[in-house]
Amino acid sequence: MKKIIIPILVLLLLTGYTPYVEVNDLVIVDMLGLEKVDNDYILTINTVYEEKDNNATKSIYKDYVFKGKSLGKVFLEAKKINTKKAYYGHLKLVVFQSKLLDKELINYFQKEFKEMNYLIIGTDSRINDLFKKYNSSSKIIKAVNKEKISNADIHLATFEDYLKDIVNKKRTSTLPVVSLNNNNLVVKGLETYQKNILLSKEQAKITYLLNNKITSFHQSIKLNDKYYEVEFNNVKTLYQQGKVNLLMNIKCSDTSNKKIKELKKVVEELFRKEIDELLTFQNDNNIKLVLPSNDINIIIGADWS
Amino acid sequence: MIKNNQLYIFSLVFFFTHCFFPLYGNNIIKVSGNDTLLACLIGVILDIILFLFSKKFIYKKRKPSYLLIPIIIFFTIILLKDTALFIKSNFLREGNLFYLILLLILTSLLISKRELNQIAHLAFISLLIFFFLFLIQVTGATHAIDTSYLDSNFTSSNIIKGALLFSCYTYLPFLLLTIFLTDKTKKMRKAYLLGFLFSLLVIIIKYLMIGLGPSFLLSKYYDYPYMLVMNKISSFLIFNRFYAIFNIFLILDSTIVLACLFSFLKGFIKEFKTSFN
Repeated sequence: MKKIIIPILVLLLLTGYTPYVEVNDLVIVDMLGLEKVDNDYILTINTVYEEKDNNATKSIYKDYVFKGKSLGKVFLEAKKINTKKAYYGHLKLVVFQSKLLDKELINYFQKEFKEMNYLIIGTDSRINDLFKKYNSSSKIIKAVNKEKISNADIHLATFEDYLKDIVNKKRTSTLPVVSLNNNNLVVKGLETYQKNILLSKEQAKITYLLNNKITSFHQSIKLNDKYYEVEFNNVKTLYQQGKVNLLMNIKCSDTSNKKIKELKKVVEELFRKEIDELLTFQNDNNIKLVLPSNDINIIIGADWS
Repeated sequence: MIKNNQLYIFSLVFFFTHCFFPLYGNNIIKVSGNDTLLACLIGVILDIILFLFSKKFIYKKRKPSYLLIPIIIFFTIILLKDTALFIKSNFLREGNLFYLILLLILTSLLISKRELNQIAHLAFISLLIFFFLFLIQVTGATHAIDTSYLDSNFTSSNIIKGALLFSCYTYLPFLLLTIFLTDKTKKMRKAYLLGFLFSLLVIIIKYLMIGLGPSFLLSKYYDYPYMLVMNKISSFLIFNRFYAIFNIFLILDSTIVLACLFSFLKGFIKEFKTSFN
């Protein structure tokens, strides 16, 4: 009898864990948007729920907007949505208004959301309009990835990566900024932390390539008044004793082997110019995006297939 | 039979040496910052030196003195409280702390009803589960490794403080266990050393994963930095949120250590009763 008492007590204690909330009483938050208008914080929450429709489940996304004078107030209001508890465990994306991220906001997010795996992005459009056009995080991420492959001028990083750069002070933290232009997502550039300097798309591309964030993309290269679509693969940057080696393979299907050699030369000159411009820019503005170096080698291989 | 005993001692030694890492691992990071890895390596060297100097003490069969009772009670209370805090802050945020402490006491009491040999058998099975999950962890976290944040300021005071703290967290619980273990024949002595070294290796690997993943300076702001590594583990299996499913192994060592501590106290109570009778 004595041996059974303890397991029974344990079972009794486990069957009544009061803070448990049924899944149907939860509202799952997919993405957040935060902006500040006239000293008021506006929090837009995009929630998802599944609906059964003729033996198939459909995901339905809905937006809720909360307004408040302080971050604490606005998030407190957002804890309960339509009498249901908001669940942030599946948060995938947070959209910040351009130039909004400051120390206070970062501290708040770091304490409020212990898991920092959500992606972050900035925007200078109204978040409401952005969420109306792209009503789920996966749609925004898809549009961003399309831009990434096409132009290599954007790369989504998690909040943790952003914080790591701030805390370690090895590089200036940057946030990619997008904008809604004619109902399409357009990359504006990269915004730096605290200084709020916006890098152009070309500078953003070089920053990502030299920090090994992007390893393949394609770009139109002009050669003898004609444009060629060039694929860049296996892009790698190696830092060795003050030297920067940028390695890449290029592939162009609509040229002959002779033209590839000329293309290589043009690509090398183009990248060298862009890297030098970025290094000058970073010097002039006292920011650290890439490791400064006077010796930059660009090594281009070619895919002959 | 003898080989099994070696593995049981190995498992118990492993869990005792490792039990403070999940709960207090961040203290070393807070003290040493970027020098944490260096501090841990020097801590390991210190531990080995301490082990070699105290070999005679460790391998001597002795009757535990009654003076150890307050130490064990103190150890039990802080371990109970901090394990419950760990569970509450990571998994059951809105739960009651005393509920969790009570659950831990009941679970450990239930395990401690057995003799130390049987607890050691349970420790061995737990070690196998731990090792399997640890391997999945290490392989699952490799995609998020970034060596650019691994740096060291080489501040000697930080390194020394961190090393001493590391040594306290690993060597003292191990020493406490060795006082109560009675099997100290020559064949079993290897198990003590190997268990101790294996535990130190696992702890170093965990600190390395913290340094390569979220980085030491960012981990300073978190009470349980190893959870940041756990969150990154997107496994190659079908589960994406690894930690939510396999989190039980995080408290395996605390449960087994608590069960052993209750068992030691039980031993003292029995002795007290027999000496009265």
